[in-house]
Order: sequence, then C-alpha cells, then structure tokens
Amino acid sequence: MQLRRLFLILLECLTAILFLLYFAPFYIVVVNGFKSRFEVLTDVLGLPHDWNQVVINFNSIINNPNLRFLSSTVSSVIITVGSLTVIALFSAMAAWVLVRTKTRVSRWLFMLYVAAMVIPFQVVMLPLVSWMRIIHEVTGIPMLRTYHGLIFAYLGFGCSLSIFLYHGFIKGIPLELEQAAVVDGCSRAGVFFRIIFPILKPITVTVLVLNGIWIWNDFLLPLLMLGTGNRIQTIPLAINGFVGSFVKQWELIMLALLLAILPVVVLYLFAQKYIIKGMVEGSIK
Amino acid sequence: MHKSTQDRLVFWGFLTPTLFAFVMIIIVPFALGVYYSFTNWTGASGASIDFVGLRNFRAALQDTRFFYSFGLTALYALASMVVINLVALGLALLVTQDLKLRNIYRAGFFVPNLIGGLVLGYIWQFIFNSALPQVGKFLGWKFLQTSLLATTPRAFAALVIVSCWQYAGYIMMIYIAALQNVPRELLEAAAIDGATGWQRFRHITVPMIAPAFTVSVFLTLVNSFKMFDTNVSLTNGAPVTEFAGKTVFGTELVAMNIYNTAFAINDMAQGQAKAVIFFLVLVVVSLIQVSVSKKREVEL
Amino acid sequence: MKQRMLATLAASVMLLGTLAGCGGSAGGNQNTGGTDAGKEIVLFNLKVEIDQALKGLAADFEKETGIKVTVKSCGGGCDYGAQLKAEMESGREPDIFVLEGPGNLEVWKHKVADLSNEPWVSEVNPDLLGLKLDGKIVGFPVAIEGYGLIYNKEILDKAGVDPEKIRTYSDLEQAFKTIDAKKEELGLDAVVSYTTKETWVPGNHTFNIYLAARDNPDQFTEDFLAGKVDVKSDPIAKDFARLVKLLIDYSDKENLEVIDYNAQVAAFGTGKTAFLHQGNWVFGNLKDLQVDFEMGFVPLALNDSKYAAAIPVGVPSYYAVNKDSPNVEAAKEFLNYIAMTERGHKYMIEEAFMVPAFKNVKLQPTDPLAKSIMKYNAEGRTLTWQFTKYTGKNFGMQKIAPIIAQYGKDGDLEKFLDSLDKAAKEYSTMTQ
Repeated sequence: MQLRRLFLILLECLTAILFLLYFAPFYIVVVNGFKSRFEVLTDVLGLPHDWNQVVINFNSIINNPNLRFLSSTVSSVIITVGSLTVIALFSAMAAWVLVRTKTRVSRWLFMLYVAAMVIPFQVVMLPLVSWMRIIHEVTGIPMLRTYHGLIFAYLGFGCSLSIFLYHGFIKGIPLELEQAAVVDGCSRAGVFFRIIFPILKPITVTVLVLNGIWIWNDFLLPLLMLGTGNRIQTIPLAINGFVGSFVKQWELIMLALLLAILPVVVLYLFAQKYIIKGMVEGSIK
Repeated sequence: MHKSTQDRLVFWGFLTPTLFAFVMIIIVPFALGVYYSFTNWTGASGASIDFVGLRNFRAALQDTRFFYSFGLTALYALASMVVINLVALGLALLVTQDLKLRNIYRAGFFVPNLIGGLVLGYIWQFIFNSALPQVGKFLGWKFLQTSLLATTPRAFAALVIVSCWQYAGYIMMIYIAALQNVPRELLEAAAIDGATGWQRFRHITVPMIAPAFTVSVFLTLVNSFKMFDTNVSLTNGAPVTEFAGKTVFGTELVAMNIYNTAFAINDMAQGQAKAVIFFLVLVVVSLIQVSVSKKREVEL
Repeated sequence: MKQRMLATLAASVMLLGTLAGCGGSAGGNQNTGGTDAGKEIVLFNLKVEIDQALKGLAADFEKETGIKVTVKSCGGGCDYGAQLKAEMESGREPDIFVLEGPGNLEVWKHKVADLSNEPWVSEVNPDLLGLKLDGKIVGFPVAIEGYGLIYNKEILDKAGVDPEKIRTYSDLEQAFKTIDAKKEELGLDAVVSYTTKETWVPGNHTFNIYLAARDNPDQFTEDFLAGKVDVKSDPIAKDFARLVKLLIDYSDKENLEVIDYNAQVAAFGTGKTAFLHQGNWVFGNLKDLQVDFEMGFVPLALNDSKYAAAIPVGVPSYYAVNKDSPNVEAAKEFLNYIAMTERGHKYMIEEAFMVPAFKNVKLQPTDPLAKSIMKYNAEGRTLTWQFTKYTGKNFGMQKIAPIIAQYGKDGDLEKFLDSLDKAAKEYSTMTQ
C-alpha cells in the first residue's frame, strides 16, 4: 500500500509537469499580450516590464474601427447560438424518425447523411458561393452576408455528425417507453417532444459542445459567406485582420485571442461537469 | 391506414429541415462542383461555362506538386493519427488514476481544443520562431536554437506536434469514456489471479475500449486529411523541397494545394478537379479504415 | 503591397459573392447634394494609416471650395477589392476610389473617368502613369514606392563602406565581403536581412530585377511570360543568379524560410544586419523599433550596366474617378488640389508620409527612405515594376519563389536557370 501511494505521488508529479508543459503556450500568449510592440520583438519569454501596457493594447483593440471587437462578439454569439439551436433540434428530430422508421428509404437517407461526412469542405466551398448567389437571384432571398444564410449553412454542414450522434443514442432507448406514452394518448410528434427530447439531454450536450467549438472558431465558411469588412463579421474574421495583414502585431493578436477565448473557456469551466459527462455518455454508443 | 399516414407525415415533417439544408448546402454544391470540374469554370459570374472533358483532371494528375501534397498528406495523416491516439490514450490513462487534481487535468487538457486552428497556427509559429529559440539558447540545446520550421522534416514534425496539442485532449475524452466503462471488478479479479498491469491492460482494457479506437482513429484520420487552417497559418507551405526533379512547397498539404490552385494560381476548375480527386481518395481511405477497424474489433 | 493569401481568397470569393449584395443599385446616379456649393464627394481610401491626414486635407478643401469630401477608409483586416464592390452596391457609390494595378482596372474599367487632360499629368514621369485604358490616363498616382537594399549608415561607416559608391555587382560584393569580415566586431548576425518565407520578396521584388534591369524591359517581360525567352542562354539570367546567390550566402541562410516580414525588419532594425532587402514602406515599422541610425537605399546591382545602379520604383495604388458620378468635376478638382497646391504637398509629405510622384513638389520629406527614393527618381536611376504584370496568377509567389529558395539551398546554377525557363513556359501555356 505504501508503494502504491508513492507510485501515485510520482504519477501526480509527472502529470502536473505534463500539464504545465501543455499550458506553456498560454503563458507565451498572456505575457506577450501585455507587452509593447518593441518588447515583443526583443524579449519574448520574459515577464512584461510594465503590466499596464495591457490597457493601451486593450484600447487599440476595442477602438480599432475595422476590428469592431464588440460587434464582432455579438455577431459571433448570434451565429453560434442560432446555429446550435437549429442543429440540435432538427438533428434530434431527424435522427429519431430515422431510428424509429425501419424502411429502405430511412436506411438509405441515414447512409447518405453519414457518407456526406467524408465530403471535404474544399469540394463544396467554391460552388457553394455561386449557388448561394443563384438562390438569391431566383428567390430574392439574400443568403450571403446575412445571419440566416450562414446559420442555414451551418445546419447543412453540421447536421450529418449530429444526426449520427443522436442516431447512436436513440438506438439505445427502449421502445417500450414510447409505446407507453402512445397508450397514454400522446401523438407521434408529442412523444418526441415530451418523452424523447428530454431523455436526449446528455447527447444534446455533446452535440452542442462539438458544434459550438467548431462554429465559434470557424474561419473559412464565414469568410466565404460573410466576406471581410462587412457589417456582420465573426471574431475569427476580425482577429484575422490583425494576423493576416502585412505586419503581424503580435501583442494585439495575443490579447485579442485571449479576449476571444476567455468567454469560451469560462463557459467551458463553468459547465465542464455536464460537458464531460455528456461527452462521456455520448461519445461511444 | 390512418396511423401509417400520420407516421409518414411525421417522418417527412421531422426530416425536412435538415434534409432541406443538407441538400441545399452539401448535395447541390457537391453536384455542381463535380460538374464544374469537367468545365472551364472561372468562378466569375456571367462567364460562359464550357465542357472541356477530362482536361482539368489530366492537368491535376500531371502536377508534381499535387502528387507531392498527396503523399505528404497521407504521411501526415498516418503520423498524426498514431501520435494523437498514443498521447490521448496516455493522458486518459493518467487522468483516470486516483490523482488529486484529476478533474483539473481532465478539463485542462481539453482547453487547446477550444481555440480555432487558424489563430492557433499563428501562435505556434510565434512560439517556434521566436520563443523556442530563446529557450534553446538559455538551455544551450542546439536543436532548439534554429526554428523548428526551418527545414521540411522539422516543419512536418511541427505540424504533427501542433495538431496533437490541439486535438489530443478531445480524443482523450473519448478514451476516458471508454476506460470508465471497463468494469473494475474484472480488473481486480484479474489482479488477484496474478495478472501483471500490462497483461491486464493488454487483455482486458484494450479489448474493452476497442470501439473507442475505431471512433478515434476514424476521427483523427479524417480530420488530418482535411487539415487546412493550421497548415496555412503555421507553415504556409514553406520550406521548399525537391520532389521528382521539381521544386515544390515542402509542407503543402492537399487541402492547401487545392486552395492555392483555385485562388492563388487562379484556376478554379482545376482546383475543383483536384477537390474531386481528393474526395474519391478520402472515400476509399475511410472505407478501408472502417472495415479494418471493424475486423480488428471482432478479433480483439 | 499587401500580398497575402487570405486577401486573395477573400477577393476571389467576393468576385463570386458580392453580386448577391444589394442588387438594383448598379446604375448608380445617386446625387446627394442639389446645389454646387452643397456638393459632396466620397473618397474610398485604401490606407487606414493616412485616414486622419486625408480628413484634415478634406476639411481645408471644403473651406476653400465649399465641396465636402467624405473620406471612408478600409484597412487592417479589410480587403479593399471586396469592400469596394460592396461600396459600389451600397446605394452611394464612391466618387474617388483606389485601383491597385492593371488587374483591378480590368474589373472596374467600365467605371473610370478619363484623366488625360488634367494639369497634374505633366508633372508625373510618364513611366509612372502606367494605369491606362485605351491609351487614356485613368489613374492618379497616390504615391510612389521603391525598394532595394536598405543600409544602416552607422554600420557601413564603421566598416568603411561608402553606400554612394555601390553601383555595380562587384561594388556590392566587395561591400558584403568587407562587412562580413568584420561581422563579429560590428555585432552582426548576418550582412543582409533577406527572406524566402515571404514569397513576394523573392518572387516579385528580387525577380523583378531580372526582368527590369535591361533595355526594353516591357517587351522582354512580355516575351518571357509568353515563353519566348531562352533563359539558359540569357547572360543577364546568370548575372541575376549571381546576385541571388550573393543575397542568400550573406544572409541568415539557415532561417531563410522561417524569417517573416516582422523578423526580417526586426533583424535590421535592431542592428543585427547591415542591409535589408525591402522598400520604403518599412519605415513605419522601423520607427516602432525606435531606430535612430541614418539609412538609405543601395541598388540590387546584378552586373555593371547602368541598370545595375538603379532601384525599382513604382506606383502601388492609383485614385480613379467614378465616371458615372454626378460629381466628376468636383472629384477631379480635389485630385488637383492634392497634386498642384502647397497644401496638398504638405499633406503628402508631412502628414501622410508618402513619396509623391509629382515633380513640382518642393518640400523635402523627413523620412530618410523617402528622401533616398526621391533622389534616385531625380537622378533618373529607376527601374520599372514588371512584377505587377504577373501578380494575377501569383506567378512570382507560387512558381518563382520556390525556385529561388531551392537555389539558395543547392546552388545548382544549371538547374536554377532550367527551372526558371520551364516555369515561364508553363505559365505561357496556362489556360484561362
């Protein structure tokens, strides 16, 4: 038992060291976000001489007319929340009927969704934009540079994986539950919303987390659908303004990045118990 | 009869939202993309689109740079699949022990996954080019003093390291889930029977978490094949190297090659043709991977 | 000068996409002001750095003429080409907008007014009026930029090298050797700060020397891009290879493919190299590094012809006047105000820190690099920018840059010339 305890202490140390190494990049991000341009170029590793420099950096981020950090944050939130809502709801609905309907069409459709996961984004990205333009010309509904257009696109890209995850989970729900509800006079649709959807909570968390991380950070699709410098821009697009330009303003990039990931990390830490539980229950089924 | 009508109504009603988006966003552009790859499509609106047969595919298949990218991507996918899964499994084994801070570790290792690939690549570029050489000087380690991005093999390793850093925490979660499903009693019983730690791991744990291997290998493989953001921001293809008598960008993965063909060299149709080839290869790889894993799962 | 991949993507994508914007406003005869005095022109500016200076100038212009000039700026992460499309569809088209070169003109040729008869035209070196549509001048050169080897006077003085005397390849080689021998005592990491990571530096700027440092460069470039030049038998190609080798051998060779623009400028700015292969646009970045040494340009001399002693000078962006605007005359007047009045000169030199393309400007810039370029310009020691002719397909960045980088590694001259030859022939057969 003594030996076992020693072993555990050693293991604890090892893990702690690994953990610190794993977080070393964040140290670089934080300290350099607090430095002046000159300091970033001359001394990367050291602590900032003057921590107050962060106020100046912060102001240049907030006041940058092209970055529009606050409005970009709002746009990112609208897009992420909107997309997650439709993805989770509609994918769960689709997965449920696909599981509970045992016809050839149903199987075939499910295969189609899953197969589409291997379609690389690059294959559809070029035609997608011209297709969106055609839709606008034909129906008069603008798809590019709008919230609904981008959210719709995320539903299209995100539903495959989400349906796949829900499908696996729903297969494990005993049919008797639903039959009992039907006996109680629930309509078919009512069964889903009253009985099934609440049961899906753990896998829904997984779906939200997976899609949320992807959508919040996504760069290429917003670039295609929104363009740069337009009224609606997401945080990655905004940050790319700093990074992609001629001169890399590292101190601003680092600080902007910190600001961008802070809400996500806080949200994650706040909800991580549920998230991990959801992922654990949802990832293998 | 009435019930079946209602069922059908619900079936299609519930499917419509995703199916509609799916068709409009993926199927139609995909079909258009395949069609465009046989034409002289330029992307400009109003320009006429003429059928050119297999010209774009011929050009793509004669492109040394494209071939190199393909080989490199296969190598990269293999390397990162192995590294990510090993690291993730290692981490998962560590944080399922009775460690005091294991919940913090679990949450923490996942954090890099919350950052987007593009910005992440820029940060690592900064670390490889500016921070690590300073660390190298400080410690007197020669191999760290020049940037990890300076030669092609090293830059390749850098790509793998960064993807691993970003992705291992996520895969770790999958392994944790699997490990927690391994019944403790079984392990304890084996221990009483005198099985060593390795034997227990090899003969009980590994077979029990086989489905997690399948999922993880699939996810890492497919994601590595699609790798784009980090590639652009971390190396942007540099450094150059020689391949089949031609100078090519040494770390240009296939997704980036497609992108460069379409936008930098401005040949949209050929880029689309390359994308279609890429797609076909991905389908084959996925099918092989899934069938191999399924077979292994059964054997284990 | 922003050559970046993502901008290319954005621009190309927006070519596909923006037409979906707000259709119906394409005709664009939106007159906002009724009377002459109340006229308002909108200038859509490319460089956010000069935003304040331009607004100051606009205010004075309004005081004098009663014409209001609204300045809108695009900068940082904003992609001008894409944003201009949006502005054109926004319901209030800009009256003055920026064209970055022949490629942009192609997009907007239906929108540009003829400026051939404007008074400022006679004040510009004809080489710098390159933006023409059917022989008519349609672009007002916003500023000129030049590049070459920027030197650190302090280091050159200590090493006993006179930058004024570097006019041929042997002068340059000698200077490099002299400095290299004293590297330790001068505290240098390398003689020159060069990069092949930023592919636009070797692919566009360095390679331009090969195309431009000769008689009749326009014809040569056209032939070269048409695959009609036998690079292997061209003596200037060997001179060029020699120059590339010199640059690479005397730079931080191991890290050439790692050094980005930041690192390149920082090495020079912190006194770790004596030369920097860049243009006058680096001055602002050098100021951030708090440099206080004197500097100027020496040419990228590839042989001992008169062209070796010259530096490439060109116009990175032009103002074009929207010919559908009801305010064409007012817009033209504003351009004249910039080029032909002392207030305008003061704006260009002292407020926007630009190098004017106009010969009538008497003010001297304080920026040493701008001064150096104006000196070369006055002496007629300039080369043309040929690389703008192939930026559309990024030939320099995608095809030439890797060849130069590879030559830096293996020094195989024959292969180098052969690769350049093949690249040109490949380019000439590219479809579309």
